[in-house]
Amino acid sequence: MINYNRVDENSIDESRLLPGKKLNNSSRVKEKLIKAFFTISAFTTLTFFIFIFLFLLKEGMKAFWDIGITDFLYSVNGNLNALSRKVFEWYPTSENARYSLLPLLLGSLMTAIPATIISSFFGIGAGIYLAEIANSKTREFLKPVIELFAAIPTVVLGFIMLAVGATFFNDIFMPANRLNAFVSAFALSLVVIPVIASLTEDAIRSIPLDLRMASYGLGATKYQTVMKVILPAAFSGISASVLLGFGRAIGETMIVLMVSGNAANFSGDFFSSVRTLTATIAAEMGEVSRGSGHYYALFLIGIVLFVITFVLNLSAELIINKMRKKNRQL
Amino acid sequence: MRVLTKEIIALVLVLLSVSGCRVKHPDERKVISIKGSDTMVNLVQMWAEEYMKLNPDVSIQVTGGGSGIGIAALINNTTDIAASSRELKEKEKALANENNITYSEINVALDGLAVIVHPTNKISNLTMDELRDIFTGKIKNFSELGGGNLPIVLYGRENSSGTYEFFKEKVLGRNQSGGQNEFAPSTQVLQGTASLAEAVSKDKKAIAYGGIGYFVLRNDVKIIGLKNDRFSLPIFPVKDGRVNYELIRDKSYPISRSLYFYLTDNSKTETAAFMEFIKSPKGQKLVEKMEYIPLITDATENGSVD
Repeated sequence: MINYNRVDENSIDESRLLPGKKLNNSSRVKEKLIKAFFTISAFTTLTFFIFIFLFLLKEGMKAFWDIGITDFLYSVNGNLNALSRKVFEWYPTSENARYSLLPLLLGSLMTAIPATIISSFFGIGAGIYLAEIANSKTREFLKPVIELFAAIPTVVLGFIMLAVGATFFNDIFMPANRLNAFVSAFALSLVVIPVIASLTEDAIRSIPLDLRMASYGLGATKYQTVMKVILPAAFSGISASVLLGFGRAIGETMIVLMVSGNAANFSGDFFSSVRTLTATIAAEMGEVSRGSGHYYALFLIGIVLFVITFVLNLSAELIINKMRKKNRQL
Repeated sequence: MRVLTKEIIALVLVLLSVSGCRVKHPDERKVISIKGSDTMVNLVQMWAEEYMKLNPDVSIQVTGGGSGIGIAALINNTTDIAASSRELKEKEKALANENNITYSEINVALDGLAVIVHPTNKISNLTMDELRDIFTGKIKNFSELGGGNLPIVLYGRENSSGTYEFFKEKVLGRNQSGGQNEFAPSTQVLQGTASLAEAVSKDKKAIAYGGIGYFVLRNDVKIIGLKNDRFSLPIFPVKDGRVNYELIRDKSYPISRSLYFYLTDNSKTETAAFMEFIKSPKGQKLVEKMEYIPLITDATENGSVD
């Protein structure tokens, strides 16, 4: 979780932190070792990150050499007699393999976007309640409970959804497929709501108290203060939380693998089965023959996912940094 | 200096003992190489692992790649055993003759798929052509087949599974220009045959395929009979709650086949011992576990699949 209430580094008087007396030799060595340990820990993460990215890139790029860029968008179907037309199909193991990633990307968006919309609605609401309306006792109880929700293993959520939720929605909506994008989005939102709620609460609470006081001072009611003062001030923080929630929804694998139905449809119907990028890797990695076009195509999916989540996280981070600076000025 | 020497000796000893745990006498281990069918690769791997547990002095190397590749390796004498989900083609037999390779064919297991629908579905049998049109997405409603007015919802297996390939090859076949027919993109993909049966039991519009063994004991799915053409009698792979082994062994049930091992005749004695194991009730029990059909009924006497 991102800490909004970070102390401004520049405001600390560093001379106070320096030890008063001169260090003897052995404690200086110790000091250096400890420093080295923490430095190494920090940079190991970075190294792993870079190696993972390079590995993905190395394997995924082979897909481009072996298969070709346009083949990942569409394949041309048709024989001499018929007009050839572009088709968007994922048949990686066929004799005449087709590798269009578009149905998979569409599947990912069709589960992640509705999930983010549902979660924004409830998550931001819950965040506002926690930060502004709930008294401290309720908040102290409620916030950990909401955050605990994010700690439920997603396979458990997926299983419950598969066993109970899918049947429930099937009886209400009578969808084309029992397992579909909507059911997945609903299950995903259970994971995303805590992310958005918790980050929204942090964003709102990081707004200086002066702003609220000024608003009350002008005679505004609580509702007016929340809607006209707090929300606009926390807007960037809240939008960052939505972006991070969206990233979580795109990257989630187990739930969609279990309840999306995994049909690589290219239809845009929310009540039909979809196949997501993540579920495709999870389902097909096990038995793919190493070094085949299919194998490299799965790595390419990995790159696509990596880029999407990287961009989302980066923009959220940038927004939050900007907000922090603004709050400091207030 | 002496202390250091001691430490080095200790280190070397530790390393030796650690490596000794893994492989006692590397040159004394007998190696059997098996190459071939991707459908069978998991089954063969299972056999190999169990056999190696019982006979630690034998090492079995299993590689996939496809039946054709396994047979080519057999002809080129680069593998001890070729695993194949089909019989040798005439061309391959001639090639083997040319290379002076004599081989024996051993039937190691059977493979059979059943087609299932929801128990409330009125359809009780289908022709192979109807089945093809259902799974390629040409027939979209059960009413076109004489059933109730229900849109058809297709369920299938992962595209890397042998079951998927077998069904595609045997049922979907090829179009006029010789290209492989594909499953309709709307086919829902589930992990494993058990979850497939679970989904069909909850979906009145469902139709799915999978290893027969998995559906035999379930009352919440209906196994339908298959007809070679419109005029023939439907053949049911399951009779009175038991797999109808006879129909699968004599291939009268359309979606069934034999799985073979091809052995070069000059292969070693340990290969023969491995064959014994495969044909034993223990080996055939593994066949059942991996969703194939065992050769002998003894292994399935209690009828349980776990």
